[in-house]
Formats: sequence, structure tokens, C-alpha cells
Amino acid sequence: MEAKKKGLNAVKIVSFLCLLVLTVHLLDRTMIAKYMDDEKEPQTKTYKGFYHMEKDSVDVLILGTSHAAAAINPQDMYDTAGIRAYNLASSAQPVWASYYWLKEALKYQSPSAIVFDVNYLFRDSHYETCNRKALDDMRLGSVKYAAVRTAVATDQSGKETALSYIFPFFRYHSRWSSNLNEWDFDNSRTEVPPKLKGFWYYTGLAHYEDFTPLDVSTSSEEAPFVETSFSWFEKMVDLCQKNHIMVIMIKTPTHRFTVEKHNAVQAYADEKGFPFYDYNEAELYHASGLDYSHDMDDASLKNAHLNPSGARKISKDLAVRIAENGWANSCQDDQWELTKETNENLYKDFMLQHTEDIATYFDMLKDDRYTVFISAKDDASAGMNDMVKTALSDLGLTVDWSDMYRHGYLAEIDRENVVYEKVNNKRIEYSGSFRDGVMRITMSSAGYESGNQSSICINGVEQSRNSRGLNIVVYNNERHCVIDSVCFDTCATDMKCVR
Amino acid sequence: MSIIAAFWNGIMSYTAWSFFVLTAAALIVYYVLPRKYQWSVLLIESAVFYYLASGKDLKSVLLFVATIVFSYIAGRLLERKKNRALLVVSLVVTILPLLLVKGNDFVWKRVVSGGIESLIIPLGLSFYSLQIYSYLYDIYTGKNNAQKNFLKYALYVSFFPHIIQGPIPRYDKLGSQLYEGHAFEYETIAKGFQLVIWGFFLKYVIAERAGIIVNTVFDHYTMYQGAFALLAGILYSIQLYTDFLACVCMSCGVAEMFGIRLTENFRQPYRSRSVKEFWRRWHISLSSWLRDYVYIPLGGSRKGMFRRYLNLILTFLISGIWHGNGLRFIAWGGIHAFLQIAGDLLHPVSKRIKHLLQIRDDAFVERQMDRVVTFFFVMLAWIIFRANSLRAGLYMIRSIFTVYNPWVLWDDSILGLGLDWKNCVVLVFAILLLILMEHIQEYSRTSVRERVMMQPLIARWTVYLMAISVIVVFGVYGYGYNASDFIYRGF
Repeated sequence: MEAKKKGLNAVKIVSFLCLLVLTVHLLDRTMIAKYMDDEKEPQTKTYKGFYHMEKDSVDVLILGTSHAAAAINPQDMYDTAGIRAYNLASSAQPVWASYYWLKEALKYQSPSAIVFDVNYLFRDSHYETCNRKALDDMRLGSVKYAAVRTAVATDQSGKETALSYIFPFFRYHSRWSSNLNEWDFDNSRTEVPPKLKGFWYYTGLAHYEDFTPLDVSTSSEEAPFVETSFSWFEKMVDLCQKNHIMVIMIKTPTHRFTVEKHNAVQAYADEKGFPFYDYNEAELYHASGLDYSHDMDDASLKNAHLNPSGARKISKDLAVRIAENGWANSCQDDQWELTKETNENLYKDFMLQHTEDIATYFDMLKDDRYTVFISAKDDASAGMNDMVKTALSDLGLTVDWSDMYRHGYLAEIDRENVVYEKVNNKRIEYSGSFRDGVMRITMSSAGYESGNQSSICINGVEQSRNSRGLNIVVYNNERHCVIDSVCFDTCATDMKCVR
Repeated sequence: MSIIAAFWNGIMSYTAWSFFVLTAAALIVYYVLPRKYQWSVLLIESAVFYYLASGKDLKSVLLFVATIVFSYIAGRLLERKKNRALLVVSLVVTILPLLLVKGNDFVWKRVVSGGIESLIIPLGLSFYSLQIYSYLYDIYTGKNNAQKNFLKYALYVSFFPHIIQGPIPRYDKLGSQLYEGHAFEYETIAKGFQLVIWGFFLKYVIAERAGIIVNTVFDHYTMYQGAFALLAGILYSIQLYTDFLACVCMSCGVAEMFGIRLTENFRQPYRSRSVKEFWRRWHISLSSWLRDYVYIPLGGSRKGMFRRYLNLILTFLISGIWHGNGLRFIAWGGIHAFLQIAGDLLHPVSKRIKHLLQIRDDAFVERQMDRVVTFFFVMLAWIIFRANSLRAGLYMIRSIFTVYNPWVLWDDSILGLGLDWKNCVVLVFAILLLILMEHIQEYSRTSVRERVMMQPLIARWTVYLMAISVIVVFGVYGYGYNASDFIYRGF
């Protein structure tokens, strides 16, 4: 009897401990930082998605920093040459993190080649945020534990603990007071097969004109590698050689790369017999069709990321080279076949964000992924021409713009259906919801004489440009974020675009 | 291998994961072993805990061991021969390291040039010195017998749940519990677990959160005056209480899991109706120690009013010195002595006034008024206690009475003290929960813990898991917050 009671108590304690672990796990999953489609760098999708790939279905792995994540689009590689690639690059990814991600990836995939961006062979930095972005979504196991130990060992402040990497709530629990959002409460949306295979859409357009491709004949000097980074890279090379994986070294375009750095990498690559594709080098730059003034998202002193236009050029060029050299086989795979449309849609979003012609813009708004909000300020009718009126009419809007001088105007088009439209010479206000009631919208519009104002607030955040003419905000219902906010000055005949 | 290294290399405390791993392992072994050997598990865990909690500082560990050896021998000798000189020597040697440490800044550095630069301060010195003192004294008076087994005696002194912050035990109450062994009881484990959870809640949801505002104001007391100082004083009173109570809850909870009940150390002190009553409810193990080994030996209240008050003043000055080595601690002790004497002297007057105004002493409003007034004076004394110097403390108290700025409590100024509005809401709700719990403890015959134990299993577990979730999410801990160690550990 006594033994039975003791046994029952032991079962109770063990059961409670199991529930406790489950509770902590659920809290951990909720509180951990998530970087999803509404972010420039959807890191969470990159790594969580990787684990959803079919075993041994990825032939090329891409590793490196955000330069690589924004430069190589696996979907474009597949569409070009049937190369099945996955991009595991992350923000300021230290070379040790690249090494551990390669090691982790080899548990699930048997790639024939890796593509490594050499950016961090010349740097060694410790950014806690970037380390966590790289490691948070790696599955628990010996590889993660080793990576965590490395991350903690490189922390100069001594504040980071291994425990906080293993149980991220130690680091993120205070998010409850600042930035928990819808991604945190809907696990089904983070645990989905990846559509972009780790590629990041940096959708800016830097218009940087001062870039000159490198003439590598101007110097034979070699810049030194950073020792710690290089030693981790050598470990990576060893791992690749043990697994018969070809190492392809690349450098994406950046005005910060130098001939000396190029020479150092080229010398190493020659010694090892690895290919090195430096897209800063004049010949390759021109051959791939790159145009720095149109293909970069940003080109500041700190960063240089390609936008999808530039990424498409590099990805295609690289895919052809990999296929031609036989470093990976061309094949057909549903995992990439089924995501072609997504890639094209995202490319369309990117194009929309940079379209300045009003008629083309309205034409592009005919898309069942979008919810479009329009609010007029001052006057939106004086400069209207028939082409624009037709484009608006094609969207389903019915207002006659001929007698609307300095009127307020509001419209909402949800997935190609006009759900609200009103014009008045007084101030107009509208409030409602969209995306199945999840998102709140309040809009107002007032012509010059009734308040001269435009407002489009989505979930309490003002999105309108509040400029003269038609202010337009486009919300993407698949990515769950605002993808564009623009104003066309339809009061003037040139209908200038303001972003 | 690396987990063991992390365990071994970290500094252990009552809130460290390594402490709970160690304790869980010890619990399993403890209940597997026959009862007569169980105490050896406690001794081993105490030794490991002490070594790791003191940062593997061998010098301080050796000093601690030397103290145990000395007091063990002294105890045995005192038992054989009740010699007053031997007692005095034993007590002086026992208390000497504590006097050196407490007097270093205040006396030695002022009187003797430079003081002692590199004192070895063993962990828990303030607590185990008093513990050993009472042990030896009680042997001399015949209240206790000396423990003959050295290892058992070492366990009594070093028992890990109380070594850092008390409660200060008495041998007659703790000794036998340590050595007799205990059968495994689910209820014992569950009740201990409840206390540990409550301790975590107090520490991380209330004390650490309140500490953010407290630190901001006290560290910039010339900037934050008037209502800010009052708010900081109130919050510090709550922070100190919850922080200390948290540690005691964890100590008692862990000890209870081993079947050992430690001395009660708090009895809802802020519900006291006088400062005198406050000291019957606050840090009970220290107040009773001071009563038994300082106040009563000095003559207590047996030698007339003047001597009674003098003894009271001396006792509280000693209490002040025990708490810290600065003038402000002595001032704090003095204030409490003064408040008690004033309360005593004014008692007939207040009684007369109440009689004239026909105010019943047990009326609800009267009880609450007494509590508020008592809390207010205790809070003023805590300001001196917490301030960076006596001068700073007096400056803050003066500003409470001279700077009129109550609007800062409503115009969002307090949101600039380090907590956003959401954290302020959590703090307020947590304090209200504490008040509710104290109310139930005060007036109900059944304790909150027993009430929880009476619920069905699912309800109990739901409460536990919800409490843990609240602590995990709303606790102030980890990188990003600078969670401090337990405040009383520093005394």
C-alpha cells in the first residue's frame, strides 16, 4: 500500500514536470523574437523553413552575411537552370555561424556545393542580435550547443549566457511590454514550408551612381584575412572536403570591396582550386548585366545589398555557371515548382514600389493579394486625364472626376472589390476592418477648403503621405504588411509621384 | 561535460539554475537513503553550495571552516565546564570577524589610518556568527547540549538554505530536525515548491521591478524630490520586504522539501499598528536574537524605565551596526529606538485623546490609520537605510515635507523613472496580490498554502503553472535587466 502510494506520488511529480516543460516550451515559442514577412530580413522563415525541406533535396547551400541573403535567390536559380539551392545566410553572419549552419544542414541534406560570400573573411565582429538571429531557430542538439558556446565565448561583455540561447525566453521574455505581434500567437504561420528558400527581398532602389567595377590589374597587393574568421572558414572547407562538397566563393557587388581583398581571396581560391566569382570585378560585373545604380537596395558606407533586380542577375549568372560546371545537377522538384508564382508576385511588389507612372501603377493594383486605400488631399481632380480616369474605372471605382475640385475622396478596394467609395466637398471619415477583421482601418480626407488633410491609419499607424493629390496605401494580404505608400499629385497635370 | 563545467564555474545563489539542479539531485538521494544517513546528504550539498556560492574563494571557505572547528571545540568545552571566561573568549572570537567587517569603514578607517584594505569576508558571516553565538551561549546557560558529532555540528552551522540570508536558527529548534531524517511526503514537496514559486514571484515580479524606480530616484535624489522621494521610499519599503521575504520563502521552501521547517522570519510586518509591533513581525529571527542575547542580558526592562530605554537604544544601535558599516545604519537603528520610545511615552496621551474622541481602538478606520502611520515612519527610516549616505537620506526626507509636487504622480513624470506604463500596471497588480495574500494570512485560520493544497489536483497544478508563467513572462531578470542579488545578502 505504502509502495503504491509512493509510486503514485512519483508519477504525479513526473507528470507535473512534463507539464512544466511543456508550459515553458510554449512560452519560449511565444516570446522568442520572430523575423517574418513584414521584416526586411525574414530570418525566422529562413531557418524554420529549412527544416521543412525534404531530406536530401537541396544541392546547393548559400552561406554568408546579409549580402548573400539579398543577392542569391534560389528560386531564380531554379527557374534558370533547375538548380535546387537554399540560402542559409543571415545578418552579419559570423563565419563560425556559417560553419555551424553547414554542419547542421548536413544532418538533413547532402549538397554537392556551397556558395560562400567572403564578406566576413575580412571582418570579425560580435553583434548579439545577429548571433541570436542566426542561432535562435536552429534545432536543439550538439551542433547548436557548440555554436552557442562559440557565441558566448566571443561576447566581450560577459552578459550573454548559454542558457539564454538554449531557452530564449531568458532573453526575450520582456517582449510582452514592447513588441509582441500576430506572428507570436500563431505558430502555424511560422512553421510553414519556405517559399523563398532563404532569399530576402531588399526592395529599395539606391540610385548610387559612383560605383566603378574593380580593375584587378591595378594592384597585386593582398589584404590580410581576419585570423579568427579565416580559421573558421578553413574548418568549413575541411568539412566540405570530407563530404565531397565543392566550395564556391563569391563576393556580391559592394563599393567597399577592394582589389587587395579580391587578390587575397583569388590567391586562396587558386591555391585550393575553388572557383571565385567576384561581381565587383569589371569583367564579371558587365557579363552578368549588373547596374549598380539600379540594382542596389542600399549603398551606404555601412551596407550594400542588392535589390531583387540585381539578385535576379547574379542568381541567374551563378546558376548557369554551377550547371555548366556540373557542380550541381539540373532537375525538377515540386518544392521549387510550386513557389514560382510567389517569387514572381514578390517581384511584382518590388516593381510596384518603384513605379512612378500613375496609369501603370493603377494597372498593377489589379491584384487579388492587395487591399488598397485611397485618400485625397487638397485637390485630386484638376490634373486628371482620361487615361488615369480609365485606369481608376478599371479598378471598379465609379466617381466622376469632372466636377470634384478640392473635394475630399476616400476609397477602399479589397482584393479587387470596391468596398467603400465616397466623395464630398466636406471632410469625409471612414473606419472599418479588413483581412477578416484582424486589421483596423481609419481614413479621412479633406479638400483644401474643408481641412486639407489625408489620413490612412492601419492598426493605429499613420501610413498616408498626406500630400496633395491621391494618397494611396497598398497592403499585401499574403505578407501581412503595407508594401507601398505613395501619393500622385493628380491636381497637377504631370501627376508627380511622391514616396 | 560542458553543462557540468557551466554548473561548476557559475556563482551559485538561491535563484541560479545550478542551485535547483543540485537541490533536485540532493532530494532524490536524500529520500532514497535510509533516514539515519540522510543528514550526510544535507552536509554534502551544504559544502558544495557554500564553496560555489562564495565564488570558490578558498580563503573565505577556510575561515568559515576554522570558525566551525573553533566553535565546535568551544561548545564541547563549555558543556564540560561552565566557565564564564571561556564563554566570553569563545563569544569574542566568534563575533570578532563580524566586528572587524562591520567596523571597517565606520570605525577602523576613521580611527585607525586606512583601516583594513583586503578583508576576507566569508559568505553568510553576519548570519552564522549570530547562530554560533546563540549556540555557545545556550550551552553555557544549559539550554542546549553541545553536539558531539563534529560533522553534524558543521551541518547545523552551514545548512545551505539559511546560510546566506537566514533565518538565524536556534539549535534547539533546528538541530534535531536536521539529524532525524524524514520520510518522503508528496505534500511536503508540494508545500515547499509553493514557497519557492512565491519567492520567485516576490523577487522577480515585485522587488526587481520596484528596484528600477528606487534606484533611479535614490541615485539622483537631488533631481527627484518631494513626491518622487515619497514614491521611492514607499517602493523601497516594498522592494526590501519582498526581496528579503523572497529569499526566506526560497530558503524555507527548499528546507521544507527535505522535511525541515525553518524559523518564521516575517509575519506581515507592514500590517503593524506600532513600531514596537513592527519589530515583532519583521526579521523575527534577528529581533528575537537581539532580545535574547543583547536586550535581556543588558537588563531588559527589569531595571527601571531609564535603563529599559537605554537598553533599547543599545540594542537597536547594535542592530544598525549589524546591518551595515556606515553611519546611516546606526542612524537607522537610532531612529527605530527613538520611534519605539516615543511611541511608548506618547501611548498614554494617544489613549487619552482616543478616549475623548470616542474612537474605539479596534475600529476599522483606527486600525488602518495606525498601520498607515506606522508604515510612514518605518518608510522614512528605510530611506535613511537605503540612501547613498546619511546626508542624502536626510535630504530626501526633508524634500518629502518641503517640496510640493503631487502632480508628478499624474502627469506621466513617473513613467520617466525606468518603467513604462505596462510595467507600472504589473507592479501595482503584483503589490495588490501581495496585500491580498497578507490579508488572508493575517485573518484566516487556514493559510493560503493549505487552501491551495485542499483544491483538486487540476486546480492546484493550474495555479502552479499559471504562477510560473507569470514569473517567466513578467519577471525582471536576465540580460537586458540587471537583476540584483538579494539585498540582505549584503548585510
